[in-house]
Amino acid sequence: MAEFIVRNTVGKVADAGVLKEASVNKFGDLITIPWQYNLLMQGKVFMGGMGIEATDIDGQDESFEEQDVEYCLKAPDSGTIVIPLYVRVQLTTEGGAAPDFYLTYVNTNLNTPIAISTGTACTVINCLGGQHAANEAKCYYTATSAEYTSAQNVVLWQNKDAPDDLLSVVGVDADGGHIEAMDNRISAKTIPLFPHIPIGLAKGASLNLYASTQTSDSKTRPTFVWAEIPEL
Amino acid sequence: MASIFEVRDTSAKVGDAGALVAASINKFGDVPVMDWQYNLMLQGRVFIGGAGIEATDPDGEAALNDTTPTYVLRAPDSGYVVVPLFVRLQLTSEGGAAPDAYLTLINSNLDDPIVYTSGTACTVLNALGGQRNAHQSKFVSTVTIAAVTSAQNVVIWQAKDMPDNMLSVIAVDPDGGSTESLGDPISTIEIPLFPHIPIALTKGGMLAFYTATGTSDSKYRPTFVWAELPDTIL
Repeated sequence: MAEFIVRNTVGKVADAGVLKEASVNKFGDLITIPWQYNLLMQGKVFMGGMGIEATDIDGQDESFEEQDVEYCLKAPDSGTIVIPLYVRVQLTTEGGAAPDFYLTYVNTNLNTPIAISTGTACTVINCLGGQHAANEAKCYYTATSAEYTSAQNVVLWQNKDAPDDLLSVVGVDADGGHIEAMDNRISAKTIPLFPHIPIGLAKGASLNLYASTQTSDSKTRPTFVWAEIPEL
Repeated sequence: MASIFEVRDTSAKVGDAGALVAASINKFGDVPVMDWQYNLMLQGRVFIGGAGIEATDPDGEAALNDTTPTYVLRAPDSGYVVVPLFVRLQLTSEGGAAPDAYLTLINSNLDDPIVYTSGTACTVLNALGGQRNAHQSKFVSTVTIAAVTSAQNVVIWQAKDMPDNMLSVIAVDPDGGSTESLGDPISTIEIPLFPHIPIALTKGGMLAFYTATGTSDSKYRPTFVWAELPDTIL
């Protein structure tokens, strides 16, 4: 029996468990589907954040504390590996002077998760649409984490002492050379983790997003995209 | 045992659909693979929607209203999975002060589609050319849909309180250091959803672009690229 068969349409060839030939095109080239899109079709990709008319979330109004997490994507303590694919954060309201922003990967490496004790669920949508699997990961805002050490996290991105007038002055001042364009926004950061930064959150590991501004709060709005697979 | 691979050094047809064949390898023994989206394109399943070069762009909205997106890509209520691959939006007319724009994923997660009421069909071309499959999704402008709650959508991109003179002043003022370059124009947003943001619109799911500019309308011109698959893949 041949292992490959020419196919030139997309349609179901069999249900799960049936032995079938893999597809090649008319040139004999193998047809592949990207891993993350195959997971998507299985209902295992999710998007978390805020709705278009949702109220944006206050950041910290004090010195940076790792326990005060603006947003987190956290794996369950067992059973599921969470693979972050994409993160975006948009500043929506300026706060006080010298705001700091961080995205950090928190992982104890000890099978002892850093607890996140409180938080409010962000909106999470299954990227396949319809009535598909619910997310196992926690996507929270205004969360409280247990303390963790420098040996238990690595900063993936930061912007420390950012201007406090990104929206009101810098973004609209043509003479400053930093106007708020539609793309490459000065008040937003896009981090396409896939394919450059392969991370698997397991056993309670998390991605934590911080916005820390003293004297008065900044507000931000996040977008997280991730896949979930059973623990190995 | 016959090899399941065969060295081939040309791209020539090795069989019609249903033929059992060996897969190709090159002279080095490497396996050539065809990207999924290009294979779908060669099957006539990829579409490009937007506006023609001399089309008139529609007015945006004066205020953000979840029921009146400016552009929507919407999956049929059943039968098809729509996979958005790329989104581009070009500001073509400035409006009043502090314009806002949003791209959001709308999905009720309840097998109960957000009702589509009305809209104006945009131009949609099959990316393969010729007389190929017609698109099954709706790609429309000046849209009216049923109300959308915060639990039914997640913002993918937004630009709030943008300058109101991006085209007339900023883009043409070299002293500002922010001129409108060809390669990276300040008045355009490009969102390559593939491969970072895997989304499949099903059961009436939507990708919606909202605009909100007070006092006078902004106008935008879209380019959306998507693939359509039968939902038997699910």
